[in-house]
Amino acid sequence: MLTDAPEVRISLLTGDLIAKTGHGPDRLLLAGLGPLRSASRADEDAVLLETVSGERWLIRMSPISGLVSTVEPATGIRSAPTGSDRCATVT
Amino acid sequence: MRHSDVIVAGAGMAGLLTALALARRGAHVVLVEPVRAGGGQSGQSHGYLHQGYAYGPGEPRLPAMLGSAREHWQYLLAGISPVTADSTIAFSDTAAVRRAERYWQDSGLAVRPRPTPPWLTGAPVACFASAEPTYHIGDILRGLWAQARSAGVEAQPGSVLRIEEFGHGVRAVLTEPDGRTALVHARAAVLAAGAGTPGLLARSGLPAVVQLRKAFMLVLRGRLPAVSVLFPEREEHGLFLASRIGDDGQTTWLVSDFQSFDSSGADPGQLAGWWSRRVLLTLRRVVDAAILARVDAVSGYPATKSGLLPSSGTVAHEVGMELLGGGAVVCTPSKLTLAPLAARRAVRTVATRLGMPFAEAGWDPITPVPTDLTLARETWEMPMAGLNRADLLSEPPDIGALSEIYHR
Repeated sequence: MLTDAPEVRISLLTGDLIAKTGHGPDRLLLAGLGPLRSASRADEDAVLLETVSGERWLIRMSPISGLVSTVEPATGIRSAPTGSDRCATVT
Repeated sequence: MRHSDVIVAGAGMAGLLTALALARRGAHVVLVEPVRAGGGQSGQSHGYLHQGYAYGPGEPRLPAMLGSAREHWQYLLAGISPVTADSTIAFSDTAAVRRAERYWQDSGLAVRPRPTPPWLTGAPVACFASAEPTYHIGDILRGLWAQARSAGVEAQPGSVLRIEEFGHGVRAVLTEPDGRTALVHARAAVLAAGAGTPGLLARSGLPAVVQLRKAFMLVLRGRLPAVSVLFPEREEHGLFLASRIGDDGQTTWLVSDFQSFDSSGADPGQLAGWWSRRVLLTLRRVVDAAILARVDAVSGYPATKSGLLPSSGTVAHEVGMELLGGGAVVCTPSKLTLAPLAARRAVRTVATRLGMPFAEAGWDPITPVPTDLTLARETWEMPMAGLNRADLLSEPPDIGALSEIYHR
């Protein structure tokens, strides 16, 4: 989980990134482009998405606003295996 | 140093309405604008002046605020024809349609059954129609700009660098277009600079009461029907599609949604391309292919959303805040629809400070002004980079190509 930030959940079905705030309604951080092969934490403020076609994207969130700040093609970044303790919640 | 009664920073919808109402009361108003009337957030609107969209339990005061704003708009827009006189609300989720219908009705807006329009296709959708119109916001900005000038508002190109207390009023440091600075002394200042307000507050040593979010607009041009619709998406999330008809007879579709992103200024990389490709994929799923084939150009631009930090409820409830003991008023509605309420509050505060009467805002119905007589423009009316003859039917442009049009 992000430090002092909402839990981020990622749907492997839709690719959506959703913030679970705990007190308010869930917030859609980024609407996905379709099914994912995997999703994992890249670092404290970023997640790595791999599409079913093999594209890999790094999604970075602002530690201040909690909102998505950057989307970049991921090159040279190793993804942590899905389900590890470095993963955002994947549904 | 120049002297005036009021300095208004920003010639968007809220700034123009405020400046106009104060000038009509006899105040000497200096309206400072760095780009052009509507060159900021007001020119990035999707054109819906909301009357009942699905604001739910999380925003309980909003229906009443929208109702109050609607009374102002009905008067202001008596001479402006909407681009579309009603809207289609369509979701693939029937329960979402029922929920939205209820919100619309609770807001006092009539809804009626509507079969799925022939240009909506593909995914099964359930629809209803609302009387919610969409407007060419440029017409409104141009009309207000003309009214403001006629009322004696002094237009000052440039931007307000900072404001500070000075004697019994405020002093504004302006940056003029040639880079020189100028000083203006006034009895009050209205900060209606939208995305520029947080910087202005910071440079003035005032509290950071305005937050910004980034959003995007997708612009499609071609021989398209003039429509307004809320498209089906996941649950209550959806796409707004609103039309504009240009001087050349071409129709422009402006497509936006509910998502907002961080606005700290970091390079967003290919975020815009990601967002716009997702929107295009949704459009391909729900819009008839024969319609999409008429799209000649795809373009877009980043948009900013600003709003006061909520002191209670949600950001949508906030329209204004007084600073410097009432010498400065932050006038930042989070929705364009609420601009008359924000302006009314600013006018009341300033009028009280200046000892002027305040009963009603004092606006007149807006008369459209031809585009060649003023520089007031919406963003889509300006030259824009784009992808021409993009084939949306076989495969939408990739994320990288789409990102480029937002960076140019």
